[in-house]
Amino acid sequence: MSDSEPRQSSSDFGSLLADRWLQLSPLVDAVLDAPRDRRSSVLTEVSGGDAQLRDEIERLVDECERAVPMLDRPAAEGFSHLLVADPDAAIPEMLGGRYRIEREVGRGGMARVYLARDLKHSRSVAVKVIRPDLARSLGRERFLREIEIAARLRHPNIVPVYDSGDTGGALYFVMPYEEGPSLRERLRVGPGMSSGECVSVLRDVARALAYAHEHGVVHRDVKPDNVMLSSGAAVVTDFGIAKAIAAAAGGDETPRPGSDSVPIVGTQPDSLRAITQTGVGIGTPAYMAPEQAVGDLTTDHRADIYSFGCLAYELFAGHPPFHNLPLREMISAHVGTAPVPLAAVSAAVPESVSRLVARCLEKKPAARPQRAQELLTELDAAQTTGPNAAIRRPRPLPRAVLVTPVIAGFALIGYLATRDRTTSLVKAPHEVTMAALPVVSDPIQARERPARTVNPEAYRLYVLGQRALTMRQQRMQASVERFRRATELDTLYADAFSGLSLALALAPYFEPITTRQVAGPVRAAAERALRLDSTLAPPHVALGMVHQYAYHWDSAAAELQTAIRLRKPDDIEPLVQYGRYMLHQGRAADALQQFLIARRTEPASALVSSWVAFTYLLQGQMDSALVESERAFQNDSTNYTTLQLGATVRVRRGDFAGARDLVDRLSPYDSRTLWTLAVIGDTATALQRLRELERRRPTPWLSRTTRSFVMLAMGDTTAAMAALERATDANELWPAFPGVLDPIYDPIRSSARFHALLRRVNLPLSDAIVGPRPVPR
Amino acid sequence: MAAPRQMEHTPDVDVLQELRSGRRDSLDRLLPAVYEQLRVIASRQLTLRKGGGTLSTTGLIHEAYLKLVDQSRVAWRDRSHFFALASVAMRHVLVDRAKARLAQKREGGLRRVTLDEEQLDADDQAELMVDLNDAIDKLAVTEPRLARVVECRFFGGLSEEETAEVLEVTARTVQRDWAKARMLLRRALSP
Repeated sequence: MSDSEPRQSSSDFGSLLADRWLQLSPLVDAVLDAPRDRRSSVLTEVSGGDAQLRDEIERLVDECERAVPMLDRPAAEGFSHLLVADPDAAIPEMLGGRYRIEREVGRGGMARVYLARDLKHSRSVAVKVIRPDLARSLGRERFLREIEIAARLRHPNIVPVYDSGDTGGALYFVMPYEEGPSLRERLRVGPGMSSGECVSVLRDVARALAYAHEHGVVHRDVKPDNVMLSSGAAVVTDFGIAKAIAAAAGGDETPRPGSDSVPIVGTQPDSLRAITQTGVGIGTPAYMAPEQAVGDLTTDHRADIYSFGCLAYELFAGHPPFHNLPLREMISAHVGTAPVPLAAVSAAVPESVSRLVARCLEKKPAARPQRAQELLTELDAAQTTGPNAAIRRPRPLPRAVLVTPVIAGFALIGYLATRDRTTSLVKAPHEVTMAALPVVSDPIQARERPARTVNPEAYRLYVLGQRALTMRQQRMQASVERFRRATELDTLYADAFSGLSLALALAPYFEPITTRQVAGPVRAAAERALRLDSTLAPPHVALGMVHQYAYHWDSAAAELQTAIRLRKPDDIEPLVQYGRYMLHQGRAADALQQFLIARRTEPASALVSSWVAFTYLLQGQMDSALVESERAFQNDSTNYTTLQLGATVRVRRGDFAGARDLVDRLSPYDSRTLWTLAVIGDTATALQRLRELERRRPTPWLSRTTRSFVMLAMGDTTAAMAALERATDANELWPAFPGVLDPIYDPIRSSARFHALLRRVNLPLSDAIVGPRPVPR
Repeated sequence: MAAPRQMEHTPDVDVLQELRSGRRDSLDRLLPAVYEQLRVIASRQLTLRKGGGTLSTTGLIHEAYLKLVDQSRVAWRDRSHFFALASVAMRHVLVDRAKARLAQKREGGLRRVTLDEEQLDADDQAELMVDLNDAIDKLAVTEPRLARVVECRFFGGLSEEETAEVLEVTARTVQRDWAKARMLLRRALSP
């Protein structure tokens, strides 16, 4: 090789040599950086009149800008096949030295079904081979043991398991080859089934369930696809298979990844890892019991009863109770939506069957028929009495929803990323999905479950909602709206429902909405959040606040205490609200304790410091109040509560100009704004705004409280009392904000009429509340 | 509340702390965790996709991120560390898978697959990914920053701005680098 020839090195780019490129690169940059209309002149310029060089650069620039299909999409899209485990691994021709595979006759989510020849008994059999990627990380012995249990079942309505094995890398089980159509196929193509036929099929299925359950075998995937119709009877197939897979997945020891080396690809199919991590049931979304759908490990035979209900529903209605829904919504419907009563969708259904199906579909396992035998008894009665009209032929269902078994927890986990793991809430993997179902009534019993979302937009909205909430912005609406949109984007997003409940509960302080109006929505959001994740604290805070709005202080205390128990270490809201509850009860010292804990947690919170300052004020410790109020302003001088309470502190200190300055930054019609204006002597403005407020229609919800505040500031206690009584009639918020210890009430503190009012709102006539207030020092 | 128990299968417990420390070696040590997380998420998304969902790398990375760190407490600087890491992890995921696939079926493969294809079957994707990986390694010899841009933009699915943040250059530089990298890689893989 001559020295004058550039050497081909391994870092060249096709015909473009690396060295050459390094020379040209800055020139290409210059052209790329030039505006398009100047490209030509820049090209000429950088090539210095060398036409050949000009061409070369121009070609490179053109190539820089042409599409490169496999690079223009992110790798995970263009190379998506690489991300799925190989589902097409070949099946050996012979299995276990005995079954000769003839052809594939079907495939489901977990297994392929082959028609095979059983050479030992010279008969046709169905060999179901677990998907190789799934099989690879199953605990094989566990799987085969579970199958063995299922194989002991002998019942005319159950397709028996002949054999099972683990050879040649394939995990399989063997069953009789059933030619007859499945109930699914019958529903799809056959003539409409009469009500009598339907009941007859259901009785067969119920008999199979009753027998299997008695023998300790749960099906876990009852659906029309697993019911075969042969010679006039319905037989249920795949008993115990779903359980075997789930159990084998859960029982397997998987290497802990991440510590020493990059894990070897393919040793652990991802779906299985998901099962392993979450301990799930396997099932098919449209037929899945709520407890199964959320991966509750306590799922038992009553999940089959629920699935049976779905199947029965479909026979009569033509579709299962929830259908045509995306996976997530499907799951959330099973968990939280009442199905349309069967009688409302099908005229032909016998009344007793309709009732029975409704019971099967109860969300709580304890509310369903407890035994399959019970189903049988009911159905026997129905068969002798029910109408026998032909049912309209059910429409076929979307395959995607019905046919693909999914791994349930996997579906959920798929959408909900794990929560903050820096806290004591970190749980062992199998606990992670011991889900917060409605059946879990005690939140302490409930297990940690993912509350996050994987939808980035939903997450963004959540963060924004949370920020608006923390800021106590004047418009709580912003927070409510963002949380609400996050819940719409991800209907299983526990944290978003949680935030929504709290923002709604706080809304009456900031928005022209009444406490009565928010009560229902707060409960709905809080309950939904707790169903999705019963370890969340904010929904309890929200519920506690709603109880306070109804003047139910004891219930409020219970919720708030629960919230404090459940709160994440950095969550101050339960402490703040519990502290405020204490203020309402006239217990300033206890309140201060809560606020100070909150301050330790979040030293830079303007909200917390404001409450600390205010409480010092109520206790007559003016110096501490001033110091703390100053601190609050340093933390965030725009926080609404800081401005409100800061104004009161300044009023008490005699700094009227300072107070005025603060309330000018609040809503002009805020009750505390008007009180401050009146108390510092600008009664004209206060009264004018009060009248403006009262002229509005519909009557602004806090107008009566506001009137009483202005009257109190002006010394007209009679008018103030009258207004406060009307405020109580209208369920206004006065006892909860600012709280009865507030200096605002000092002029009427000892009045009998005020005491009567306190009794009406269930507040104690304690010394702290009705006695003389400490004199500011 | 029940006593917390150690998570057995979660590789990511201390990722947050590690990311905060920001040391290069700790980032490298974190790679397996991110890798594992991405692998799981990617496969799951693809499975769900059959039900009509769409797959996006950004979605993958974001989800991994949400899983691994508490975003509300992590500064942007940490986030870009994470993005860089996730991009590298994604490259590993894809290349490892491709190699595994090729190891299984090492026959044929005579047809040279180029970056100009629109759709490729699984084997061709594996073939191309391995070639592309080599080409990127070579690119890194001559133009190291361009190779990093490829990792971020292509494997990480990061936007120009995010990539700029990661590499501490301007978005305009990223744009130019990416254009040049695409051109060079295409040439490197052309027959």
